[in-house]
Amino acid sequence: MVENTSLLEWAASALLFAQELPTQPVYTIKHLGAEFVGSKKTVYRRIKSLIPLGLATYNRGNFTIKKDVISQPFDVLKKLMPSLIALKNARRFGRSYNNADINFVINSMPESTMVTLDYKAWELTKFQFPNDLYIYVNDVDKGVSFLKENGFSEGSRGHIILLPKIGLFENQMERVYLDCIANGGRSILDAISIELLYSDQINTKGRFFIDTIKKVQEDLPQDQLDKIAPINT
Amino acid sequence: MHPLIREALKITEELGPVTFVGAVAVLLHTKNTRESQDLDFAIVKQISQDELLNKGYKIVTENRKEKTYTPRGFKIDIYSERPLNRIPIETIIETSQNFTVDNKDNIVNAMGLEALILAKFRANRPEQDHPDLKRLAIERKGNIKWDLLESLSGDKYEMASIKVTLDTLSR
Repeated sequence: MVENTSLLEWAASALLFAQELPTQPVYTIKHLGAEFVGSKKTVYRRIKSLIPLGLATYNRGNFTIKKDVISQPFDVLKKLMPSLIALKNARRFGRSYNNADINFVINSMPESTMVTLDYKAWELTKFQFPNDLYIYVNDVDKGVSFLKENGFSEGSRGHIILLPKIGLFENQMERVYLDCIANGGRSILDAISIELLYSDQINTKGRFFIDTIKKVQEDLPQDQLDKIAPINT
Repeated sequence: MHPLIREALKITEELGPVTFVGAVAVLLHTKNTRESQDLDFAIVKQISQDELLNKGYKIVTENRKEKTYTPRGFKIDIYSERPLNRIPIETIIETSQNFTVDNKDNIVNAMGLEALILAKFRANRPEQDHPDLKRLAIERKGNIKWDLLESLSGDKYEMASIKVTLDTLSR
């Protein structure tokens, strides 16, 4: 945990820089350099420090950042570290690249595994249809061997994702919630729906745009909305 | 069949020709995405509330906002007048695309790839549009009609930015 916090502190100036950037899917270094930090090299150095945390990608002068994750307050980012590192070390597998892969793994998972993100969020909220099966396993190498023995291949298109168990799992609801924030993108909507429905089980609260919260509230299925009626009154 | 596509098909049968935008369009173009249980569609002729009620749709007020649900409980948003991310509804319908969704040759009509990319790029929400753009770039970049995208945009700076965005996201 101390090591994780140091990694975050090491990236602190990069986080501040990234928080200040306007929201865009892709940034071009040559268009940002002088305007934001004075030199292209500085921008590059800062982006590079976000890559080990899975918060940025860089390719030929262009970069992406997980703006919705980076915008979290520092104390929330600290709590996200185990999730960020687990996601950075995730390994993805596929065999038939459809639901058959998901069903096979769900039916063969040992009890020690824990499902998170898409499928867990769907089970909890019925808000967004799931796509990928993310599972925490005690021993990633064993999990990889099992999948390979059963005809799965590692690559970028599979729907089975193995995550190393890093950090705390006592409060599973909170862990799933933090994983959703750390994953960013559409998982942020899952995090909001989990917070709306299970607020009493979550100690660390993320920060989200009000329009996004409103969108989730509006689009939650009716039976789920009934559970949060007291919040709106 | 994906539940959203099944619902889109039912809506098409009940309301006539509609053009799905948003979730259903992304799903039809990429076959691989995460979407919430709401369906948005564009239609030239406005549908009256009576017409919807007669077809079993429900109109309810929740949190002081009127919401419409299909007879099967899916929330819908209908676009018939105001443009979607500055793209006129007529243009969305003109450039739309038919998708065969089952082996009985049933068809669902959805926003064309180029209009969808432009709408997502302009909406620019990190939680929804950025991941959708990435998925579209990875799965469909090779199928984009750049001339059409350019004419829909009408802005060479925006086009340059879209190109860089799709190139980067597809890697």
